Amino acid sequence: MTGSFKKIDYSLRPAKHAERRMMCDIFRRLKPFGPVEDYVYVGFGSVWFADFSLFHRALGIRDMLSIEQKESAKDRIEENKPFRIQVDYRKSKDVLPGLDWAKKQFFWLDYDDPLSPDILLDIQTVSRRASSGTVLAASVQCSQAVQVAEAKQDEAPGSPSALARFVDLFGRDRVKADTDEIALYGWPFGALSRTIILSEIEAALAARNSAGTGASMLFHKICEIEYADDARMTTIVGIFYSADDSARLDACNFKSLDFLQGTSETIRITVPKLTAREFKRLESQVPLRPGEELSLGTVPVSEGRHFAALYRYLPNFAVLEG
Amino acid sequence: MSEAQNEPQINVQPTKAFFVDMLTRDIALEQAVLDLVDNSIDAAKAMKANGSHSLGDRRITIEFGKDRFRILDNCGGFDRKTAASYAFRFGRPPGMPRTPHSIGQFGVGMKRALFKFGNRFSVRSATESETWAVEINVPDWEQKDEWSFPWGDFKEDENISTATPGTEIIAEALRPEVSARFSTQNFENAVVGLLQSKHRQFISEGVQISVNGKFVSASSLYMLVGDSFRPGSDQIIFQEQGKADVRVSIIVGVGQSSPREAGWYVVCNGRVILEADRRPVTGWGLIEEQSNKLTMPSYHNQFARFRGIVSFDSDDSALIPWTTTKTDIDQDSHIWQKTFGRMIEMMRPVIDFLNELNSDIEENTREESPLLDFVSKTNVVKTENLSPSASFTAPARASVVKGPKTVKIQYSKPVEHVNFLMEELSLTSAKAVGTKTFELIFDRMGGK
Repeated sequence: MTGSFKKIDYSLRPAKHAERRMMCDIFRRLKPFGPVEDYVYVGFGSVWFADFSLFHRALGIRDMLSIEQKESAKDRIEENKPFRIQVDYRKSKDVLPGLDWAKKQFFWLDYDDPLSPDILLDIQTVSRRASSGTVLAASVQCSQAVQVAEAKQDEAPGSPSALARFVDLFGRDRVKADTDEIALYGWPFGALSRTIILSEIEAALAARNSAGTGASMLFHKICEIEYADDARMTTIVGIFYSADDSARLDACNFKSLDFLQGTSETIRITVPKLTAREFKRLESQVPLRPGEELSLGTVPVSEGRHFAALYRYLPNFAVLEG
Repeated sequence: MSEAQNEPQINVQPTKAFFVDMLTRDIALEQAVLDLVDNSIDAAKAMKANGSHSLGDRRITIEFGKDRFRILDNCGGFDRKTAASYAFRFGRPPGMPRTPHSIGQFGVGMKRALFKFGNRFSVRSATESETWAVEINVPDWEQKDEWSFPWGDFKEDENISTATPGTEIIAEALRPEVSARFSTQNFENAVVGLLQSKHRQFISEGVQISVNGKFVSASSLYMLVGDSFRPGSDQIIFQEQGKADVRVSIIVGVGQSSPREAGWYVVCNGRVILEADRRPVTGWGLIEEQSNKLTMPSYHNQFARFRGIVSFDSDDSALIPWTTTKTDIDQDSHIWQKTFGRMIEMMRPVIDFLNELNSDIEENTREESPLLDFVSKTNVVKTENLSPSASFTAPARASVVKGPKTVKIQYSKPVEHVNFLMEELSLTSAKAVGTKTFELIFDRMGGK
């Protein structure tokens, strides 16, 4: 949302590519809640619209909204957008409340920034209104909390620590009392960000359900993803469902998703570094039958393992040389 | 003569349902949990007062979730007579023996919490010589005319018996909104955060409190203390014939810059009632009635270093100026009014100093401000460990000098131009570009 497209060509981010395909697999599983092509996809398309293109081509999603706060890039975005995607040039916190919440939606709020209270406000907005069957994926950058740099910059001794600043900003009901400063760096910060997002959803649903009218709205976490094409990123994906729709949720059978096999709930996308020839060699052997192992040849074991875990989601590379 | 006049009396008896509803509306759920902890703390204090039982051996275990709330303590329990005559009365009957220096004194905390949580509750208690239990289904109780609870069966277990005296309270059939909040992580975090600050004194004295299996540590307040830089403090004692003394201590000073911690803390018999308060109630944005002028500024982040602590202590907690919910001040109390006047007097020099500090930073920038440099180099001390001093002492701005006098320059330039220079000069911020270009041109022009 904040214009990372100026720095990186989205199509060259292999881990992001894999994540997008995972998202597509999740999307495909939503049939028990209704025809997938009737879902509305809401994302932050930037100028690349890679997620939009994939969901349109692979799943037939037509109703798509991209939220883009960088109005200065409007001409370029309008020039680049495919498939009649609707683009709203306002901030997500201004756009979200006005959506048609009666529809089933698939949200991928893919922020370029680390977790902030504004992001949590978006999460709340969605949690308060989402209809049963709506999916919420939220991605945040997690290299380190903004407060780490703030604390470093404020060199005055006795100035508040990064953690104190973080708790100050987010409030003590959002940050567990035993959180330590390490949790503001790297993957631990990713885990903390996801916990805070999940608790925010939980709290918003508690308020929503306390009205006591009708079936409770619940949230089922589908998976958590970590990857680093450049900056470290983490994503949490889950689905809102009414207590009446438990059977539908079971029917989605998210547990059997390919990328969730043999791992805990947190998936770390590590793109194997392989030559085109090695790719071909390994691809000829998959999917493996039970008990079978990859014949690696000269491929390093760790690269082989990463390949086996994620090959369905990896991009195909071709090198064109003149 | 109308028929009504034949009635013996006009009925003003409250209905139970109204009573329960009214009682439970004026307290936040987190505070209701704290109220129950207050009862346990009072029991622990009484135990300590009656013998050699140190607070360090007292445990309070709190558990809550979707279906149930439970608080268990080993703080000595209360006897059948107390249960029968006082503990469940709404309000404190005259003549009831008071726990000296208590924090649960209005006789509403436990009932209010129990009714607020759910439709069924049980209380079980054992002293060294007696045991008793009560179990109530609230909707059934509301249907009956009598304002009484029947005794239940006490079953002893490893938690509570005459050998391990204490009290256990369980609430079930939770109200839907309560159940929803009890099951969230954020609610648990909020309760832990409140206990850390509101019961900090008791926790640091050794009482062990756990919430859903995790022990709660105390949070501390810090103030800056150094040469020629000291918090101000004062003591006032209110003595009235035939009443217990009320001892008041006021400390004001400067802490680390933290907007969330800035403001007044009001502590009553060790229990924190207000934390980081920045309302007119504690003097912020106070308007002088006669001249209609502000005598005290409203809170602004330039006062993020302000810390003020006012503690009231008395053996008779009824004399202390707190409200029944223990979340605010009874502003009509004459003890509060007199204390408040002194608070304002003591607050003034700290506010003046922070204004000075702000001017110094504005004129010299954060990096170059001599006064900020001085403040930053001063040590922080836990407020509990402060030695008493008289009035707030801080250096005057003119007395702190660092380097030559500076002036701030500010200007705007097109982003692209600034970025160009940033790249060319290998700098990382616009501000650095401003400084560097000034230095370069200064050298170039032969400045020395």
